[in-house]
Amino acid sequence: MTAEMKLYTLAQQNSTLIADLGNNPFRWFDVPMPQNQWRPGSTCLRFWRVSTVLGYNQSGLMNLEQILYQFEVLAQFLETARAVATDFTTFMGGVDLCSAQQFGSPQTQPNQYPCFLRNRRETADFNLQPVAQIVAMDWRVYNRTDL
Amino acid sequence: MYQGLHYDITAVMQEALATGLFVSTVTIQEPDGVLVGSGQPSGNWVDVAGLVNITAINAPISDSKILADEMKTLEETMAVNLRHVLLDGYYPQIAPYQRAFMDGVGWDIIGAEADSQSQMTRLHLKLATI
Repeated sequence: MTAEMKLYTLAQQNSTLIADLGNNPFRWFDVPMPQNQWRPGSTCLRFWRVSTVLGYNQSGLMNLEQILYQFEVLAQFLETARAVATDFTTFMGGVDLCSAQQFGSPQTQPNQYPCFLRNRRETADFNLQPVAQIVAMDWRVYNRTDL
Repeated sequence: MYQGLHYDITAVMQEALATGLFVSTVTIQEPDGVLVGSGQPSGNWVDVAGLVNITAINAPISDSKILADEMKTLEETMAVNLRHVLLDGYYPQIAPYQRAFMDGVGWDIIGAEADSQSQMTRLHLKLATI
């Protein structure tokens, strides 16, 4: 299972994220975002894999990959986007894609912390009506490809 | 004998209105000035006094080709619609910071032009969605 599938599986069972992003549809989008989802009050999260660094040892390719993701929270109000980004950060604190046990949802207390928030910044999409306020985050995520 | 153009000029919009082609309704709105959260505009709009329910023609920008545009990027697909709207009179107070609420949809005013003879107002409107 890909890291994207693992993250989605965990996220859609997280009650905080469901409260933030809605249920049916759960507005968590592997980009490009589907059209007609952004509207006032409909906070969306979109993400894409920026890069993947594969682990090697002397035997060759390992099953550990180091992924750089960009996550973006889109909201009508910047304070909402900030709050959802913080909720998402809390969620990622309980995510461990290197352990089969911890991937058994719902996620339990991780004994590792293989997701790192590298950067968080704010921007906006001013062309839209209404303007979408965006909090963008860069995450470094470790994933075991064999799990 | 009066040889001025005044009657002809004022007749332009009267004749246009008499055609019955002004089937749209525009209300000019502006931000309510309320700040929420950390100082961000509330996102709510209020009607501007004197600019409510103006009859108008809501036309495409061009009659020769479709100018609406859809831009596909990695993150999203943005659809942009543009309209050229003729209002039934002279409203020089309309400004681009306002929006035009036309036939149930809020449009961003890109440009507002009141004519040189104080007879009509044209709006360039844009609606961008993802």
